[in-house]
Amino acid sequence: MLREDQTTRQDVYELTQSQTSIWTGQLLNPETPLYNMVYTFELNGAIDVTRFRNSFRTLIGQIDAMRTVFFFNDETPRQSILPKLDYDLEFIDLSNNPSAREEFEELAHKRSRKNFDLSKCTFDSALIKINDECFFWFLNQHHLTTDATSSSIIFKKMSGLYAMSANDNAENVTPLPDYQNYIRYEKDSRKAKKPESVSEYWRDRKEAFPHSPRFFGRNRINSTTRSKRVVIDLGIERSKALRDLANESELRGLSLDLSLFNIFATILLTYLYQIDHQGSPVFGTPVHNRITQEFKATPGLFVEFFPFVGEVRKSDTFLSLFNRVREESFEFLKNARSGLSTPETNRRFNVVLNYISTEFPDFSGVPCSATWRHPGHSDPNHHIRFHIYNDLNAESIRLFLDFNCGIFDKSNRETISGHLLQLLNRFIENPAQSITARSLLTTAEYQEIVVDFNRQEKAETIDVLELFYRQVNRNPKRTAVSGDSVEISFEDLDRRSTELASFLIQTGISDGARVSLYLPRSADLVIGILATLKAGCIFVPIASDSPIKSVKDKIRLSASSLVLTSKNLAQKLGRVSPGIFLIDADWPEIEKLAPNLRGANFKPEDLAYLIFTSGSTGTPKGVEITRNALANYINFAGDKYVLDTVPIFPFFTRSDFDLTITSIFVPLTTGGEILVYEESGKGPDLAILDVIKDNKANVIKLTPSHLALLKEMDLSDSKIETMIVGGEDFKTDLAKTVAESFSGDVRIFNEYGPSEATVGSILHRYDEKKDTAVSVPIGKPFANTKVYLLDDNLNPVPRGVAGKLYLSGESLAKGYWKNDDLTAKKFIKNPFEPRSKIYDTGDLARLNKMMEVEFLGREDEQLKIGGLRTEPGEIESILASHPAVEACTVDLIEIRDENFGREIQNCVRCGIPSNYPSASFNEVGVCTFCISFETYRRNAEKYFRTPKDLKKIFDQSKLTNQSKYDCLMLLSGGKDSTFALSQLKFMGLNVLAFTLDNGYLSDQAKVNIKRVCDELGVKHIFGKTPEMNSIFVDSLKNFKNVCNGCFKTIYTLSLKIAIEEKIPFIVTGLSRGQFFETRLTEELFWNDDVAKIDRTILEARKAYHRTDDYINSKLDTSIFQEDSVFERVRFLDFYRFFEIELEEMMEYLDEKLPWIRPGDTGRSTNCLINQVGIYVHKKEKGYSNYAFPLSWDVRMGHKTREVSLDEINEEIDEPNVKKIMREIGYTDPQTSAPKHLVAFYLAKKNVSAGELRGHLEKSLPSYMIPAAFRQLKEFPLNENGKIDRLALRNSDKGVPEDLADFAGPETEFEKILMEIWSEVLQIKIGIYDNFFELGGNSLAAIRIMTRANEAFQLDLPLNAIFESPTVSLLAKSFEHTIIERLPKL
Amino acid sequence: MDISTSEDLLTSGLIDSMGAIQLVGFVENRFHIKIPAEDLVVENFITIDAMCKYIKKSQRDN
Repeated sequence: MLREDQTTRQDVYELTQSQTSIWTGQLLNPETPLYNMVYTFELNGAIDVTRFRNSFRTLIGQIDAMRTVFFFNDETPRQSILPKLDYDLEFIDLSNNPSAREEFEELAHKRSRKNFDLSKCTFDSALIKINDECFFWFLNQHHLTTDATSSSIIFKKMSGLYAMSANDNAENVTPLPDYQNYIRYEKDSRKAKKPESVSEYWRDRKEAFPHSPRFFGRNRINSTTRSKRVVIDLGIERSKALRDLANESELRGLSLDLSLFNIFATILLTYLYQIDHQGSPVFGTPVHNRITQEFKATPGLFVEFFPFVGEVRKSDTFLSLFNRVREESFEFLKNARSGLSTPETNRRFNVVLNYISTEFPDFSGVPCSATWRHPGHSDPNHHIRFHIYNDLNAESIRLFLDFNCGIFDKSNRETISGHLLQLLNRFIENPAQSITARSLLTTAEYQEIVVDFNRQEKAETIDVLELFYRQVNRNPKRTAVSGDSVEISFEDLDRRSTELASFLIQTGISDGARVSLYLPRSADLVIGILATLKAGCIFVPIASDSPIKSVKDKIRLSASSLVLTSKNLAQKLGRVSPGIFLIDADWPEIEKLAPNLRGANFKPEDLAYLIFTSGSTGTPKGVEITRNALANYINFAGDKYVLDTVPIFPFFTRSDFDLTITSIFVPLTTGGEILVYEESGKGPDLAILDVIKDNKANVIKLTPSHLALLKEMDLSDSKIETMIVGGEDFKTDLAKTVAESFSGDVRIFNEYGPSEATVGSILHRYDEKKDTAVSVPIGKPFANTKVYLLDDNLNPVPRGVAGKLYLSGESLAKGYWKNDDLTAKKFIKNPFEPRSKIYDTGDLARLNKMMEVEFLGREDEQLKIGGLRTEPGEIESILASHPAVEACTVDLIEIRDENFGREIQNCVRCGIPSNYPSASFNEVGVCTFCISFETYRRNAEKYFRTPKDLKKIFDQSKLTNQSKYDCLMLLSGGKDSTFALSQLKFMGLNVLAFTLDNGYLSDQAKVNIKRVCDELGVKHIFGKTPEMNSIFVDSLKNFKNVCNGCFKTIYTLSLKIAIEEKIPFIVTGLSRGQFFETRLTEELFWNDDVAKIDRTILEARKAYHRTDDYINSKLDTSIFQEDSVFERVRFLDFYRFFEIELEEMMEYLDEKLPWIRPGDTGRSTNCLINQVGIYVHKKEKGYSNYAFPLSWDVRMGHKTREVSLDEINEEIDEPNVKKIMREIGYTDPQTSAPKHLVAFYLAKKNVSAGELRGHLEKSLPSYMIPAAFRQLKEFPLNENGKIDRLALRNSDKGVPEDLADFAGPETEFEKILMEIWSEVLQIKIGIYDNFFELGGNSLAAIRIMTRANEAFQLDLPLNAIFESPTVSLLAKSFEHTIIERLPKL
Repeated sequence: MDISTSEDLLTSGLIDSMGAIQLVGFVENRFHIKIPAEDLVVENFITIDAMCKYIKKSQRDN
């Protein structure tokens, strides 16, 4: 047991960055041995147990890492090294046990899963005797204190100690270097200012927005720690081939190890690319950090993980990708420095590549073989760990693949290992071959996925008319079609359709002629369909409620010979070129003719119908379905959907929707009944509700959206036995609700199929127990269809990987009507079978573990967020799993600012425009800023001083000043700073004037500056930086102006000069208006403690100079880390001490100084680039960035409202702005509004967005969390009963209101802080939103902290908000502080 | 540690991949040259002599 004084006496160390990661991981998963590094060494020779145990004791004494313990100190993890650790190595003798080896295996298995109490001892070891000539040394260490190299060092040391112990001089062995040295080194390295090139490298990699690949659609976080290992021995031959390859002139590098690493990295990237189709896959890889001879010999944890970002191109060969990897690994190794990894960099990958080169030679002369054992658990964030184990003593290289059990099952583990091996073989075989040309699939998988999966019994295909005739003969009197006013028997239906067919034939309309059926849902329509088929014609269904233009388009495009319609509809249609037959008026004409079907000729390959679907171009495309394809589907559908009872199908969906084919032909061919529900003629078609109310139908074909309408209805007495759901994605949740409302007594089929493959191609019967994924699977191919899931190169993708869905088989359409180009594009040569075609559905799908197809959505509707392909289904599934959510869908929606395009008014006093955020006006047009200023004007006045005060400050400093200058004056060359400079001079000060030459100072302004300084006798310098243009670009991107970047550059450069020259003051010429823009806030004046205001502003200044932003990365600002800098150089605002009105100032400048307003900028400024800032700011935010400071100038009485408005509304010279943008390299972003992920949902009760967000955050990465949540009463549906995406998107125009539904506050602290944040930032926020991402700056920080301190009666430093930058975190710090200060009980 | 200019640095284990990369990085910065990936081979960096030769050649070529 560790005594308190023992630890306190020892040096206590911080954890290294790498140790911190592991410590945190362990903390998150206590009681789980996920970081155990276990080795067993089989020693094949006699071992002296006593000597071995003694040597181990010496070993512990020599290795400080083994004596290290870990504990919490002040809420931070710490480590300390025990001077002495008593540990007796256990000896276990199994030599009398007949199954000693099995016994040992069990023991090793058990002990490798030991959970360590890290505050006591971080390892477990034992010596196990199998027999006299065979021992095992078991060594299990926590990763906190070791790594692969360390294990080898410890082994060799132990071997050495054991050898020496024979001569009894073990104590004299030279000790190993201490890990403490590395702890110190790592800390220094971590704390040191990173070289700019290093920061830039990691910034760039971050910007590449790499992301972790998703396996089997799983992108969940917090999966299990359970992990299984697959070991692959590459074999001597392949290992040799691999080493030879690494040594080939094209591939070799600085070392064999590095070349091998690069080869495996190439393989891994290829694999990730193939399964995830993303161009920049990323994996994590450890850097060994043993950069000195001493570190190479030190036991302990040195390795540190960094993300390795690849760039894979479709056109890559193994060699071309390898070359890119080689360059990247070179850069990577240069930049992956000790201590630089962060939790953030470590979150960026879920795949690990670990190249281990190590050796375990003989043990003091005894032959030894080492085994690295897996403890059965591993970091849950690492879905795959791919270790290359290059044992320098073995000829064969081994691969250790650790798979997270939450993501991969046994079969996945085997296939993935097979894929990696396959890629490796291909690389070795021919590095110049394309990485994607061949499928990843192994032969066995190909057989399973491509061949067996598509194997179906070939059934006989009987023509639909033949099947119909059989029913007519069997049950002539049975009702075939019924509706409100009619009832027709099979016999009558046959007779009437023959009559109509005869008419068609005798009018010369037969054999491939198109007949448009423009009729309501009715018996007549069924007669028309049968008649056209009988006459050898092609029917073209046109729904009666279609817009008239679309009706005419279809008649025209199909070049119909006749339009079968009704009197009513014919009136709407007007004149069309083909003949019109009115089925409800012209029938007597038919009756004159003798029924005769002779003369009609048709073959199975002739067309049965044309269905027009809307094309993406707007022109409908006609899908050509042959009689054989129709017969093929209907034969299968009849078999599947019809039970023993006579099927009664409701005909309630659009006649020109291919889903309806089932409802018409299945009853006709199986002796069932078609129940007709006519269109209502007005409003949305809600016939589905009548179908349910009537309760006559027993089989129904419908869409999921139809089903959703039924959810609220009582279905317990429903006659429906079979439901066929098709047309869109069918969510499991919906299926479950429906099945439950039928008490499970209903068959629900999910049928997938595009019109181009005749209604249905893939089928699944919903199973309440088995179907638990987001969506009900679409199942397995049916109706003689073959299903292929292919990548861009038409290679089949492995199970679990998303691919494009292709179909082939008898149901395939012949093509598109009169559109050969499109036909050739969508119906392509089948790569798997000669003489057949495959149809490109444009859908994405994958095979699940049960070998069922899962639909993933349209390829062209994939959501991309920040370049990441996101599966809405994944978000939807988790959202739907919330108990209150009934249905949901997720979409990307454009969100525009609510002030966009509104008319603008200006405050009658100060002129601030109404579109300035948070500006509002009272009834007489005065803004809130002016009104509230009245309340603190008095206190604010106390902040201002007199010229005498300023003089006093300078006089005082003269006593200690070591510089020849009294101050450095920031001279912009404008009137304010020029006047200020003259006054300083007038006070007798020695001033150094500083101007930033940002490259856009007008020539006249420069001359002005020089003239003034010469006249005043002031030394002047121009500051410059080569980074200026990129600083402007950064400023425009982040702040929508140029001034932020320019100001910070001025402050940074001038502060550095002042420090160098030891100048005690920097004087600014900021106007009083600008004070209020940048540093003075209302809150500061709540009391009149001016000293406190000064302290707060100083704190803000420090934070401002220390923020890790673009400028700090470009200009060396490390010196600002020192607090003393801000004591040595102080900032003074001239106009804090001096008040003068504009006119007076101008007069003075005119009379006393050779200052001339520059005339070459065309504007009231001396800087040519600031109009670029105004332009961008106005364009993106709607108002000028000068609007606010100018309003303050007016409020302070230094400018009139008119002058200020003139400046705000100044015209911008656009061509010139564009020219400057090109010069500095800024590209004006397209003005489209940003798109946000929005979730739409139906719910039983009101659920807050905050709750849903919290629900999603448990299992999804942040980029997948919707920005807004919209609860709807119902989803808008299109005419086919599918969710109308366009309507959904359009319904959401006014979204900002709903965006308010961010994660809401829960505790009192959060509530109060939330109010303060919202008031200050003037936007809707959630408690988890980051201050900086919300656009927070130091001014906002001051305001929030002042208000919060006031509210809680505390005085937390300004820094608190930088350290706890969310409402949630900040609330906790306030809470903690208060608890800490409570009197201790 | 003393290292002779002809001592084998890379294959002798004196410098491993990571050390080699740092060495190359040092050479790049110190001599203001950019070493292309295809030149990152053992021959060019195996000894101090080899490095000097390579650096001279790169400086000449530029």
